[in-house]
Amino acid sequence: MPASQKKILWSLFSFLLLLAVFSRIQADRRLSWKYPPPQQLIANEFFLNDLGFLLFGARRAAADMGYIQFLQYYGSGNLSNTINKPINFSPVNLARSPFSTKVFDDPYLAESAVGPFPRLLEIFMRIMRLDPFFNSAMLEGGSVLAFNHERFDQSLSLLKEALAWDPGFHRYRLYIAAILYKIQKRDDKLADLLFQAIQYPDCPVLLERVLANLLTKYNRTAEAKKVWEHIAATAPQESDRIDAIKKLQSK
Amino acid sequence: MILRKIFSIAKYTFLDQIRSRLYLVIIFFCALVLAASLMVGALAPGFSVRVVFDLGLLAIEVFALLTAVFSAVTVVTQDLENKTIYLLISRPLPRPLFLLGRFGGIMAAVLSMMAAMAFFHVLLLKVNGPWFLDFTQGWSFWTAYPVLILMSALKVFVVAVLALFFSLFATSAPSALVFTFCLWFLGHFGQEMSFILNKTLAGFPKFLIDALLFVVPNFQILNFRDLFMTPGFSLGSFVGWGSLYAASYAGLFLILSFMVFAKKEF
Repeated sequence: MPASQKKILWSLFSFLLLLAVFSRIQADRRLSWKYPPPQQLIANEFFLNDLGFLLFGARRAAADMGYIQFLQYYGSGNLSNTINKPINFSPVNLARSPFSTKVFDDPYLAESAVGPFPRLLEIFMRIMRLDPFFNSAMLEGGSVLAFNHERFDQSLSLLKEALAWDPGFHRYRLYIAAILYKIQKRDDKLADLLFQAIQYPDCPVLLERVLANLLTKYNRTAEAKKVWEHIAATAPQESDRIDAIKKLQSK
Repeated sequence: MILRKIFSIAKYTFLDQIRSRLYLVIIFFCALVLAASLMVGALAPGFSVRVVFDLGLLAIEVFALLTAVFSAVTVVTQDLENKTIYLLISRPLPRPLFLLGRFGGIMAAVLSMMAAMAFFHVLLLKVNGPWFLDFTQGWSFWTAYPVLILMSALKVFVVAVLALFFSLFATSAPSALVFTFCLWFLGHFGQEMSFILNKTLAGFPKFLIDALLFVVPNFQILNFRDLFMTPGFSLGSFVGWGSLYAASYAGLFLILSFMVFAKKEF
């Protein structure tokens, strides 16, 4: 290579080096990484899958897979072909675990793994730690735990952590308040809050059904009918729509 | 004159690429994965748009990455094997221009593939209904989507340059592939890694690791797929610095590739 060409290349190299350093510093300054650190990921049997997605910079896609696995679990009761029991978080297992990190040593998750669908909290925690901005899934998780299974403490802990990750998402506060009213059996207040919640398109159908049943219980049939009509028109799952139509026909 | 020379080499490389079996197979699989994302999306009623959107963008990026990396690693080694490089080098053609033309052709083929797949992806999103347009909270879909594809393309561009550099620098194609993929993973995991290391290391080791992570490309800066819906993310101010970083980083390694290639003896 002629000396003149070499000189041009070296000067271009120096200029690009400075530009790369400067733009990297500027971009780093603007990049506020809001995702949970990897040691907070839930290390269950899907941990390696999640790590694989992370290595490709695909946290959102990993959370999507987690959500589909929740639907399969809730539909069939099985989370995977091999492991259907909740993880045993005992210290012995901890020591044996190849991923011996703090996430295994979570006494709250260990205590919560009881009753039907014992792994619900674990599943939603996994989704949240992958993508804490998957707000609709968190709302659904909170609703399922509180209104379907009456695991209020689990539901509240999930929603409170979700709120800590995304404090600007005010619907979490609405759901937390609704759960607190449910605990206190103040159905009138609960109905008011649920009315607010169902205004949003990402409100889980479960909550709409809870509201409709609540209204029916207190003989507010006209309002209940409106809610069932809304479910029949907008529910994403056909089974929910059919169910709502049946309810309307029976009235 | 110089531009014409680069253009003819790039055109030849582009045609060579789109006729290659590997390129067509990768396009076929990418289309297949995109179509399959529709089925995966159907498993999550209520979130099907999100699933098709996320998996589609990931598939486009990963398959573009595979095409770019394999092509960039083999572009010079194949010329050496076929001995076509002697025909080109014996002409009055500066070596950097030859490399630039070859690389330009590869990137043109990769970008065409990404554009075609993005078009197919939007069609698939449309299958889910018109509300995919409202899905990109706060951003107009037609603003956000091209930016997301552009940032993926920039990532692929940087990785392709690294692959080209390693193919000239390393002793074999597999080792160049290993180096490139390691940097791809490190580039995505660096942010997470630095968090862990900052908690566990201090003093000189911490400085050393921080310096190393600064040298490694930070792909999270360009990872708009995960970033663009996080609260407070400013698309406008970020695109400029991200693009400048990618362009200067890639330019840096392109020049290093020119230097290594100029020193090679055939």
